Formats: sequence, C-alpha cells, structure tokens
Amino acid sequence: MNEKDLILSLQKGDQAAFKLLVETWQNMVFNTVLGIVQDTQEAEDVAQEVFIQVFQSVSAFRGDAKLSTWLYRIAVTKALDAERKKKSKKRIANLKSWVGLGEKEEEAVHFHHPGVQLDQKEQAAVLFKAMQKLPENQRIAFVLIKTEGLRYDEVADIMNLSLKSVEALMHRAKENLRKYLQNYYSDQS
Amino acid sequence: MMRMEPKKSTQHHIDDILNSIDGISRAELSPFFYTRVQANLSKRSETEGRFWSVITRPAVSLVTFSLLLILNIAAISHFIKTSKQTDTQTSTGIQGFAQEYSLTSSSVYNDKTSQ
Repeated sequence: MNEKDLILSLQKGDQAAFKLLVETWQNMVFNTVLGIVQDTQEAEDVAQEVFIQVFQSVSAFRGDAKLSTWLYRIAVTKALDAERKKKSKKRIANLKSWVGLGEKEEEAVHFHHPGVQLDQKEQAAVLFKAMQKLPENQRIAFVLIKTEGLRYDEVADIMNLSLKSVEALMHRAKENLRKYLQNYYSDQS
Repeated sequence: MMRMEPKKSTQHHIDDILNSIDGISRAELSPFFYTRVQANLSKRSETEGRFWSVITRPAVSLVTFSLLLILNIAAISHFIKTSKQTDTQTSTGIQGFAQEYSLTSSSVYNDKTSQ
C-alpha cells in the first residue's frame, strides 16, 4: 500500500490501515519522543498520544507534507508538551516543599538510551543530560539529526525552517553543549 | 593577558562525549504497542460515549432547559424592574438636565428682589 492509499484508508477509518501505520512508524515516533523526554515509560505514553491524535485528526491531513514529516511534527509537539508539564509539576512540587507542604522532588537519575553502544553508555548519559539544557529549537534539531539520523533538509521540513536556519541551530547546539560540558568538567575537578 | 586554554585531555573528552551517540540505533517498542494504543482509543471513545449518553438523556435535557428558562425569566424581570426604577428617578427634558447640574437654585437677582 502506498502512502496516498494508506492516508485514504485511514481517512475512511480503516482499522487495518491504522494498524499498519502504527506498526510502521511506532519506533520512529518512540525514538524521537524518547530523545526529548528521556524517560522510557513516559516516551511510550507520549507515543500512544501521538497515534491517538493521528487517528483523530487524519481527516484533516491534506497531504501537503510527507506522512513521516507530519508524524515527526506531532511527536515533537507532544514530547515538548509533556516536558513542559513535567517541568511545571516539578516547580509546583519544589514550591510546596519550600512552603513545607510536601517533599522536594528528587533529581532524575542519568538517562541511558537503549540504542547506545555499551562502551559509550556513560558518555552518552552525560551528553543526554547536557541536551536537556539546550533551548527547545536547538534540542529538536540535535535530537532529530543525532538520534534519528535525519538529514538537515528533512529536519528543515519538519521544523518549517530553512536549511540555513537548521545548520545555524545545529552549530549553536554544539557550541552550547561544549560550554555545558566544559562547566561540567570544571565543576567536577 | 593570555586566556588559559582548557586542558587538552578535557577537550578530547568533550569531543568523545559529543560523538558518543553517533551511530546510535533506534530504541524499539514492544510488539504489543498497537494493542495498547487500541485499548487507549476504545477507552476514550467509551468515556466520550458515556458523556454524550448522559447529556442526551431526556431527563437531563428537560432539567437543563427548565433551568435556562428560569434564569432567563429572572434576568428579564430584574431588567424590567430596574429600568422602571431609573425611569421614575430621572426627570426628562430640560428640567431634569437643570436638576442634574444644580441649575435650579434661585439666582442672586431673585434673592435680592425677595429681600
């Protein structure tokens, strides 16, 4: 089934087409979300939300972009929403603990991405922690290029930016990561 | 004064970290993911269906309609009452205008003539 037929079937509410869509793109969506939220359970929940939104809004999909581009956009938006919710929850918990109404939330432990080679595990965990400090746009570009292996032009399509802007985002992301890592090492020594 | 460059080994280490996820493989979901999505979807449509079934019940519709009717009648009667009150309080025409700006008091000339 080609992409156009798949979209048509999805728009007709065909369950088999939906199953095919989920099974084809579930790992792509999960991996993208995981790169942003850095929590396996949460990433699975967000990935479910992504496919539920796809099911509910596929009738509005006009086919201007590729199906995968549309899926990436939904995945990134949902992952960032989940991140914002998590941060505000953490802020409220910290405020509560400050007032004396609750306990302070513990700092998250290092995230280990299941796709990283064993000998790189520790270094990758440090990198993922540093990635959390990047501004949203830089983080999205970095995640899509580094963990999803997308080309710059593909990322430009997903983010609705020019190729030059994505190149600039990646350049700034690397510079910022370098700074964070330098601070990390100077704090440790 | 020359700025001290960070140690070469640290720079090397940072480069290693930056390259540590090159060639990373995709994280994979369990094969039961689709079943979970389906369960989640049907749970939602069930909740949604329950909501609509409650909303469209004749008794609920009747109560909502009566409540809206009572609220409307109360609002209209209140509006009529207040508009009547303001009508009686304010005089119309040039007399009302004069009263409002305290122009009705007798003039100095009148005061003198009355004396």
